[in-house]
Amino acid sequence: MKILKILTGFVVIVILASIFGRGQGLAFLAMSIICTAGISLVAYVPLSLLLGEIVFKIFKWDQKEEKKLKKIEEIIKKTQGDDKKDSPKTGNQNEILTLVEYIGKSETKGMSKERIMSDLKGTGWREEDIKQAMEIAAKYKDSLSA
Amino acid sequence: MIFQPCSSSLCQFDKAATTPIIFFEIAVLVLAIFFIFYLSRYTKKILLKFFIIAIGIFIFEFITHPLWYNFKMGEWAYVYRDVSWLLTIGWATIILTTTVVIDHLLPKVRAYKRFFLYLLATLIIGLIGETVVMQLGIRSYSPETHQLIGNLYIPLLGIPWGSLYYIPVFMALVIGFYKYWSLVIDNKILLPIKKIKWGRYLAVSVVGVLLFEVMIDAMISNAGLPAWSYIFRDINIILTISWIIIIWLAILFVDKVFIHFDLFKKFISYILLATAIALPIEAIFVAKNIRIYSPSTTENFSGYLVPFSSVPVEVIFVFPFYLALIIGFIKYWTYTFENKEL
Repeated sequence: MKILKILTGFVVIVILASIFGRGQGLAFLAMSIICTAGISLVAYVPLSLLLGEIVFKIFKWDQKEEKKLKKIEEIIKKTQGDDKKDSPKTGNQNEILTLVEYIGKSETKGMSKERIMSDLKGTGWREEDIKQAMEIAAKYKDSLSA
Repeated sequence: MIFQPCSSSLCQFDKAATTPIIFFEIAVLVLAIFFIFYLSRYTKKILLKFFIIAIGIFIFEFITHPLWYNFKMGEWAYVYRDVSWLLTIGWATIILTTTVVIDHLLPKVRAYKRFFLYLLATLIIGLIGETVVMQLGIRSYSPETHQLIGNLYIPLLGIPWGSLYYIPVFMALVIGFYKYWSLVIDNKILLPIKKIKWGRYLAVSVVGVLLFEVMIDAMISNAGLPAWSYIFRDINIILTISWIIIIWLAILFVDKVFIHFDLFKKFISYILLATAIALPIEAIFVAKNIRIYSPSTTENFSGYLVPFSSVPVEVIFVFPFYLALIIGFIKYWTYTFENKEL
């Protein structure tokens, strides 16, 4: 997340340099990084992070979503840990995480389970993976939507 | 001294605005404000969307600015050399208005069909806009562009026939970029794909890269490769295929391995991965004089090279932006095929 904020902040710096640099801002920015062999990044990186934080706050790109994803990740880890002994081997954690998130969002928007199942099967997902993701999504619905 | 003031002729052009040009600039600003305000009832987060479109246009103008000149717009109007923020706002208004109106009027038409309507509408408005800036004396073309377009101008409008190609290509890439980011802004639910149709991804990558290569043809010469490999002007099949494969593989890799990433993280990952592979290859091509930048392009270069290479430093900054437009276009199209509700 920090990297994204730094990148976003750097884009802001590029834009500001363009606007206030009287046609020279971008060249100055490039030179100041390359000609100091990157040492100037010591200043640019924290500045970018700060600006990135501000942009994320303004546009609400958002800590809430990030927290939710972390929660899903923890749930999957826990569920897969609990079920390891007696359940069949299912898709990898990243894939299940993606499915849980998709199912959660689709259900919130009122899509039926059958529709979700058929759409996902249509793009090549195995039924057992979809079912496992649906179980996780249903079991932790409240905490996911919190 | 690290920073030298720009001494290129492109920084010394005529910036003094005439009265009609000042009126034109005021009209651009007023229309932009009006349409943003008016269209805000039809779409959410309109300012953010306008900002994203403006970024896409600025990237395109920044990359291709050696191809055309924008003079006489007043000291206040320029952000980089002759790239003007007022023209960026003008184009952004055209794209925002067109896309929002078409989406509002034809919500049930499939996204890829609407995309062609955007192109048609922006072409018509863009041709009118180009005519206005040509007539006002703002727009002119670099010698290399002149060489390509010759003296072929559309009767009555007085703009090059090439505009009929350049405007839709410009629009296709910027609209693709904007529509990708509007998926992020609108928090759209996208179907996760387990079995990626790599052939489809490849076909869209071919279109995206080829369109852009033809567009920047006047800026770069590809030399020293076998005669059979030149397909159109000096566009080279070997180089073009290299870019296509790099971009295509980067997208496939990220979509497969980082399937759980959101669109924002995926976009950054595509660009970082493709840049990491493509930049050293570009360095080799430049060192071997296979890639030769045109005089109008090199005139804009500071003269500094990436350490241990013959690559101008500007290329490092331009490359990710170039990829951002093409990848935005490619990914938006693949999403439209995979998600019928878009």
